[in-house]
Amino acid sequence: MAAESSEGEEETKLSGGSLLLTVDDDLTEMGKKAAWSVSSCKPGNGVSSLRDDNLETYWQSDGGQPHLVNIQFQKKVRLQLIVLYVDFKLDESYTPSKVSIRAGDGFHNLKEIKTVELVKPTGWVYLSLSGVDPRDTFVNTFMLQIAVLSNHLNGRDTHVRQIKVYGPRPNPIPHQPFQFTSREFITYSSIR
Amino acid sequence: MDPPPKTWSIHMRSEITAKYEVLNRVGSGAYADVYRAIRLSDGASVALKEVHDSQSASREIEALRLLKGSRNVVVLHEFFWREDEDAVLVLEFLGTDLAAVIGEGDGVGVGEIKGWMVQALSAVDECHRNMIVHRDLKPSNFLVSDDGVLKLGDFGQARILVESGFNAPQENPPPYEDDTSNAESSTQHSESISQLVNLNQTAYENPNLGTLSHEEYFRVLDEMKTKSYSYDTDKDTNIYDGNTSCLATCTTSDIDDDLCKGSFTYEAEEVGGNELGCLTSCVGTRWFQAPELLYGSTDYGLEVDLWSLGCVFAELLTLKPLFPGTSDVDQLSRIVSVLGNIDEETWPGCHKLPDYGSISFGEVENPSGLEACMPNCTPDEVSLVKRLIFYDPAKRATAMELLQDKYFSEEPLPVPISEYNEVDSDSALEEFGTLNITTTGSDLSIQIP
Repeated sequence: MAAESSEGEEETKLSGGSLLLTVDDDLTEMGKKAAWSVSSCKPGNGVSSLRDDNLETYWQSDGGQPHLVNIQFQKKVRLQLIVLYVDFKLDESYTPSKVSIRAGDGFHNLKEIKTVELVKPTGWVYLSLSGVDPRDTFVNTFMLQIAVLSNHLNGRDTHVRQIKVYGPRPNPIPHQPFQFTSREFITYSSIR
Repeated sequence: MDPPPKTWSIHMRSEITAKYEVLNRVGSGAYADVYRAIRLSDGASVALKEVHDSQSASREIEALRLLKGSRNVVVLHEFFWREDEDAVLVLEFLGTDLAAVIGEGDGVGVGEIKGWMVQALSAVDECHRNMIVHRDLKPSNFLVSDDGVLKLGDFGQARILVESGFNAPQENPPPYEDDTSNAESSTQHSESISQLVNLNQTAYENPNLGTLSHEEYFRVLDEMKTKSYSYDTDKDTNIYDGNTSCLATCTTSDIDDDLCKGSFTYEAEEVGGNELGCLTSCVGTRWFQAPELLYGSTDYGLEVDLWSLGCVFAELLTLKPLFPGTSDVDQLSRIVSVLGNIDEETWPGCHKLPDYGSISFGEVENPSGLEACMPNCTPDEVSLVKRLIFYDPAKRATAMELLQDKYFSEEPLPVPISEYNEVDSDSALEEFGTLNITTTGSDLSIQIP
């Protein structure tokens, strides 16, 4: 169910969550190229817990809402998908319920591109960055901000266990507008 | 430039216009406006610095009085301070600065650069001997006279180690007021500082002790900090920006919204604990900020200046900034991409930094190294900068150690300062004697004879 908000960004309601992380082969994880920071954290539950590939650990905020995760890239990157691991069964009132995704060149010009409502999620939650227009399959940005606007049961601080950010895999053949998949096509794709 | 409009506050102050002819404004910043003026008594050029923040003014005055007679520190002639007006400092006028030298580009020889480096090191060494941490070292704060003398200026963010027994007054009144109670605490303050200076200079200059080693120097510093000295607190900083966060994460900071932030200086009000001994991490200019400041440290030491000095030297040698970050996180990111990952191995105790848990970078497998940032520099030049650009503050070479670096004793030698006299035309003003205080109602004028 998608509804147009007053800001013009897409608002989606998501329930459930997937216990297995499955992502298309044509996407690559981009988070390792970024600098990650958070608005606040409890000692021992810092930003590194979001990136340690361990579902037992979590980032815990320690301040007022919204709780922010900032993902900053040195160069402009194409991003297509954000995947969060959240667990209502374990985290209860610490589980995010409303999440906003913002993008821009830096803190000075972030624009909200999507707002998602999570309903008691347990597992991997997929947040596509594609717009209403089917041609807008990705965002081209220096910075992404994930804002936890509210938690379940009116909780103050939040727990997020993992965040992955995916973008289209770079084309192996430069200056080629599309990517061949079969070996034959790739073999004959350039003049020898 | 047009003559200054009469509405300028500095132009309306009779105690200043009686002694100085204000010519034109030569610079302005968040804290101060600087005007060029002529001293009517002898026609000498001076700089009038109108400081809009009382804490900044008192810090600058106190630091410059402690550093009186230092060859490579700007001279404070006198200052004017009225309760209802900004403080005005009368400083020696210097024509240009290192930022302008860097901006002009290629016409500078290695010998000249070495000469400026030696003088910059002397200035910082002088500050550190007197337990003054400048906290805003950058090319534009190293002023250069017409005959090549380099002098460190802008001590508005400087901090002085003071005796823990001295309680700074809450309201931060103008120093040296003609008032018995204040005079008493001011004397006590001065005594504690002079004791510290004497102790420190003894450690440096006593021939029986010899030169302190790097480890001993910082061990003595740490002992003094823990036993009988502490930093005065930053709680009275007069910037009240309700929407400013000092965290390195820059989540709500207007400061960090500016992509050109590298060229500005800021010091925001202390966030969180304001107990004595707590320093603000939001100080200095981003491109020259030490990583401990970027990670929100509030108990840093003199070593933050050494990192900044490394960045200044790299810029002098390459004519471009070493780490031109666009935000605090980007600043750290650039540093990490050059020096590699920050962990307990490279920086013992880094996990204790306030914002260490709030910022993370991808694993840097092949950091580019300082050599890549200084491609046309000699190994000796890179080595000099490397001695300052360390994550671990304890590993950074002191200014005194760098002055003895072989780089400065090899050809081409540092260019000697032409026609530099031990006693110049301002020497009479450099020697502070008894303060000449004139008060009329709420007005306060202080001359340093």
